Amino acid sequence: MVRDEFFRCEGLCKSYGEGWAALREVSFSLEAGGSLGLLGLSGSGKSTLLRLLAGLEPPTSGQIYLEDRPVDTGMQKGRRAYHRQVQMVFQNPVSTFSPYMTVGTYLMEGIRSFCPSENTREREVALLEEVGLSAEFSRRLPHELSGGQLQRVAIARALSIRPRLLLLDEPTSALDSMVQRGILELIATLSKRHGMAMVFVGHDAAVLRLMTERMLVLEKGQVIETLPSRTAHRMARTAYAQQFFPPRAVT
Amino acid sequence: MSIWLIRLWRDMPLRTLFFLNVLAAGFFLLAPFLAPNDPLEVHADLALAAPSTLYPLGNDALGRCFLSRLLAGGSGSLFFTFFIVLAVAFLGMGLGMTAALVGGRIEFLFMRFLDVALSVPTMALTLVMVAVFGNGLTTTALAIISVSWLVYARTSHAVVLGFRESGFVQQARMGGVGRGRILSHYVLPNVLPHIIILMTQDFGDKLLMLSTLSLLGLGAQPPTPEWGFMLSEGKAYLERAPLLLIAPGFLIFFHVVLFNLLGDRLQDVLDPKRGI
Repeated sequence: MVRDEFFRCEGLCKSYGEGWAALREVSFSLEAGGSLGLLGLSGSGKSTLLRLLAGLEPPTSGQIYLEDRPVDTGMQKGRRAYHRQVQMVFQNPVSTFSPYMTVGTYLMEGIRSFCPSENTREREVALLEEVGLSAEFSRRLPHELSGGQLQRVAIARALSIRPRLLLLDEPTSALDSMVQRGILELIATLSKRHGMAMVFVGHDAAVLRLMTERMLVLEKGQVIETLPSRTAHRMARTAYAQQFFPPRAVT
Repeated sequence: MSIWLIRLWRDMPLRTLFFLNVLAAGFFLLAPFLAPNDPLEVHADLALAAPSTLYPLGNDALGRCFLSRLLAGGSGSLFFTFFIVLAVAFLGMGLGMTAALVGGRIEFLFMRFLDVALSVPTMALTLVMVAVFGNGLTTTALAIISVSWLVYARTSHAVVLGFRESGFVQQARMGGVGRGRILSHYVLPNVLPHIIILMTQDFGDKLLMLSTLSLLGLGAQPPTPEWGFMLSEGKAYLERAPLLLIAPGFLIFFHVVLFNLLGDRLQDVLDPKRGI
């Protein structure tokens, strides 16, 4: 099935100060409902790239296109229009919750802003149930939830406005292995159900192979290889990329 | 905000402390209506007289009703302390938060100004400001305000800085939440507990500072009753009439301790890791 390309970035660069480039000339495109993994060691630029894609930081140069239209996140209006389509799940769920805000209020913030007509108790409960939590969670404060439950709420919030692209910044790295599995299954199910495209950042190649269709391998801010996820372990050419697929770990 | 109120209301020790503070402060703020005699009326023949039915706590060196002066003095001390604490919190928080949210060159210059101003000892700076503004309770209060807001500005700035780029503010921005709501629902609820705790703990400090300046003869001027000034007057009669020294000293101590206890309890109750 041929899918339309709806997201593209060309020549994205990010420099902090003079001389140090965190990201150099990164380009890729993504089809509607497609999934892409960003693989690299710490400091390779994958989280910086994700922050640029999320519109949280402007690129030093380069351009992001959404449905062939250049994205301008410098202005409030452009940022708002972009975030209507693109949402993100952060690495550490605890940091994304205000300690004084109940889960219910947090969950409905996006809806309150983007689709106020849906700001109802029924929708709140439906969102919680979609991520496997009961309605009584809505009155709880963040510290009363486990890391896995918080991440489920964060995913529910990101999905609440029905974005077309979901950015995931190592969403399971702060969780234990049993909880990780549940969250990964949830993400896979929901992205399929909502037909959402996904950019998944990680340093665990096994997770990216499971969750994405292809992956970009980043080293020192540059894309050094683009691999189909399923056969990435066989097709990796560089020693840098091969280190993510040790023979025993490949299944 | 409502979570705060629920927490505050459900905590029994805090409720008790709050009630005691309101009772103590309210009593003295209403003192002008409760005083049995005119606190300024001099009776030369009753100088340092012992307690009697007409003058329940006796008379001071000029024969003025000591109880009436204690009540009126408390009214002055507490009113000005409340005024000082509210003014410095409002001013300091407003400027500190604004600097943190605006950022850039304005923030840099503002913080360097704070660095310089805070490097001078507070009491020394206050004495300079009193010299500029002149003696008297109002001018002393203004002098204390002009110096004390610096600490609030630095605290608010530091707290806002911690939240400005926090995960939940970034998430809010991505969720299309406007600046006003981010400020009111994300930043303020996290900054205010720090400021409220600072205010209650600072109340004792400011009461002591006001009293110290009065004790040095820079605050309240005769014949205005004020606890610090009465302490200064009383020390000359320690042997003949110890109550003139002990009573205002005890009342200052009592209010300082009461507000510090309230501040400590608030700190525990407003800890975000506590449940509702």
